[in-house]
Amino acid sequence: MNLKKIRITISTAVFILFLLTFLGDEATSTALSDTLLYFQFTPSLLQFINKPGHVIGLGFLLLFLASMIFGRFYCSFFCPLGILQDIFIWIFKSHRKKHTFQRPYRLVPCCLLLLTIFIAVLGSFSLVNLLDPYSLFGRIAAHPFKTLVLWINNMIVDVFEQFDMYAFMVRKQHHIPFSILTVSIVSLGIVLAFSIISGRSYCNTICPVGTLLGIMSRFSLYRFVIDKKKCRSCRSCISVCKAGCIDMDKLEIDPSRCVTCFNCTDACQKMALDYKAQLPIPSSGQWVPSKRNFLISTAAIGGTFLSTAFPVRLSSFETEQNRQVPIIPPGSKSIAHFTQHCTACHLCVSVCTTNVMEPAYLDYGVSGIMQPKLNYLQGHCDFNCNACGQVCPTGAIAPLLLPEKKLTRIGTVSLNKEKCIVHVKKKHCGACGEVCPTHAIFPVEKGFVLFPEIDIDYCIGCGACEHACPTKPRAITVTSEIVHSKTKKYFPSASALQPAGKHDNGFPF
Amino acid sequence: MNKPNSRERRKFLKKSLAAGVAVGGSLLWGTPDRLFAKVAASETPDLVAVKNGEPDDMFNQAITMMGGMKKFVKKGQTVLVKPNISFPRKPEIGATTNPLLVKSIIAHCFGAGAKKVYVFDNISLSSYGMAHKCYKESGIGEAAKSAGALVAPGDNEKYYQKVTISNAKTLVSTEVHELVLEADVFINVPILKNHRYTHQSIAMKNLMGVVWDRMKYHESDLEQSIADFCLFKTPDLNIVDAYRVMKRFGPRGSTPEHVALEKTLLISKDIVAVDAAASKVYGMEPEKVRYIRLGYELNIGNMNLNELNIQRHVMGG
Repeated sequence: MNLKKIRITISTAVFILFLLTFLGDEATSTALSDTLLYFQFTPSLLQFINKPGHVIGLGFLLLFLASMIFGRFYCSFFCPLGILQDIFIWIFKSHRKKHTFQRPYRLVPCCLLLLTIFIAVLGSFSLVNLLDPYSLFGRIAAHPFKTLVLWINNMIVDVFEQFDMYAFMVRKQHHIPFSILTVSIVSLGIVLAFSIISGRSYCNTICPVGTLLGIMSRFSLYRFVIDKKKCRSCRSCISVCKAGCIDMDKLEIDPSRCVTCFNCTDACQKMALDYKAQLPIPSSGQWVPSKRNFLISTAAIGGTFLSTAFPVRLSSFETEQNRQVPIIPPGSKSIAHFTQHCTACHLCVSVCTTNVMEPAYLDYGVSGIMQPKLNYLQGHCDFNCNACGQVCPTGAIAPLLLPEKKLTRIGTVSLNKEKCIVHVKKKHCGACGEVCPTHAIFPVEKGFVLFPEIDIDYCIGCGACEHACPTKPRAITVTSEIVHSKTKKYFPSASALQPAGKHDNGFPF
Repeated sequence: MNKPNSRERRKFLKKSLAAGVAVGGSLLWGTPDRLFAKVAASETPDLVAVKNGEPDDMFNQAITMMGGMKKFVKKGQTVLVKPNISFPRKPEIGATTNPLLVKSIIAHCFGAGAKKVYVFDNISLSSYGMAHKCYKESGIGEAAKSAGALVAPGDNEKYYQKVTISNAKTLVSTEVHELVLEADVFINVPILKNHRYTHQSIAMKNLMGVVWDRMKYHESDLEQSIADFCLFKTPDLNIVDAYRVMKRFGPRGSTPEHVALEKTLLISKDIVAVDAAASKVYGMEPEKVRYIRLGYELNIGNMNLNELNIQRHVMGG
């Protein structure tokens, strides 16, 4: 059994599923996201912390236990960013120097990890959002990749339409603010550069998840060992080690940096490398740094757990009254809940069928960098859709059933009569009332003109009216609900359907 | 401008041609006596009204009374069938044209020798992705495909071409879907339903779905723009689906409780006449619907039903 081949097979499958989740249509995304994202480290960790005792936390526990047994298998098997780097490494295989041993370099990764956890505990998700590998990959897939894929798709559609074939649809990219596109492309560039120059060193230098798993894998049951009797020091294992963690001088493998890719076991001709259960924790020579790391890891994991107990928040929207508060999707409960759970992977943006979701840059402040919002100039929140909550892996957007979603108020509407066409020109418009799904907007006839009126009790803030309003700027606008609430359900009065008067011929004319 | 004259001439040509085809067609069908009795002896009715049948049966009856689809669709022509697909609602809500009727119309078009039949609508709420949901939820997308029509998209500006309407009051220029400009035959298949801001949405209102920027209508003068568009183009045939008539909360609709089962179908070449008749079926005097009045005043068609040759038929009776 070749473990390297198994790793390649599994990771390729995972990567393809990831691409389908982020680039596919709504049905594909919602079907795949549940199982696929259950085992993503940061999202499952957030679910574990935020929903203690809930089944949803099981994903993280499984991941945690498996890491204690198998080491950093997540990095090679399940992390989409890791697999992306492996693909880059594979593509540029012939253009680069062979992998070499890299000296352990722990200051930066440990500081970054501590800082990330520290400020997350204080309530700022800025570093989590920027550095979490899953979310980082999500943004790369949802923005530059998807733009490219849709461009190709639309070109194919164009060609087919010339032959009257309408089997494929033109797909429109969601609105990507320039800042977000820049961040996504720069992060892709950094990851690409790291992987071409020095293999998996991004994972061992910057990635906080990599560092955390690295600390854990020092104590994992299964580790790679070099059989000193069999090894002929041919260095073929070093030349394939993407993490650069094989020290030929000491004939040791640094488990904290090893991403368990099984390249070395595959490359060794003498069967000197083995992946096996090792009960005794590494010898005293390595104990000193690992003891330090053990302290760090205890602090890190402890801190993460404490973050629920200490809701010290750096930013609070409740106190800032004058600020334009972004509108958040149904299921996200409140601005506080949303900003404390979202890691800005932008899967909801990618899956949104009306393209109303768009990544915001600093609308939530630095602490909620890149978390998405609803932009009613781009689209409206479809009454019969709850896809964003279905796919959200962190619980920032809780999954809502449609009946519940249809009564969830995410904003409230207000009509500026000084701009409204009907009020200004006394001519019929009805653009807002036509599209309102809840009867929050209804017509009132005054002097043969039908004026739109608003009953706020039924408004869910879906933004259909704001999106449809023909005036610029909009006469009808939706403002965000800081804490989502429940609306009244509209029960129309019994309708008296009067039959039209009929002549003898059976028709009214 | 001598437009009425040219229109009259065209009408005459069409009528004589139609009579010829009706005679020829009836001979081919082998039931000349029936057709001669009803149609060819008199002229083509201005309006045909059928009731108390299923949508497809009523259409079969109505188109026969009009002289058959061959009068409107010639061999090798391309046809555009434009139903109302403006909302992602099921047929029971009465917000979208009955899929069975659309299917039957397409079948008749092919039966008359149409080369291609296209179906599309530019939906009401132009958020990306909604058009697909409307095609699917209304059942029209599938019905049209099963009848062999090409279900074309209408949700991208690239399909639209700018046109100017010379004697329009408010809708001076607009972008029209290329299929409207290219198809040989344009069949308008609206549903009769309540519209809380224009009273009813019928055939003239349904033409808002062939332009790109509907908001231009809302912005300037909704009803005037609806009438103005008919100065640019009127459909060759208007088939009004009044099988399920939504009486409240239009145009989006609420629940099937607010739908009256009128089981009626109206056909006319005159878009104003068919709207006036449909408005009566709804239970309102056409004068009250401003765009019908405007259409009449602009000489687009005749809203005075007593001046028209109307053929009525009650099914099963």
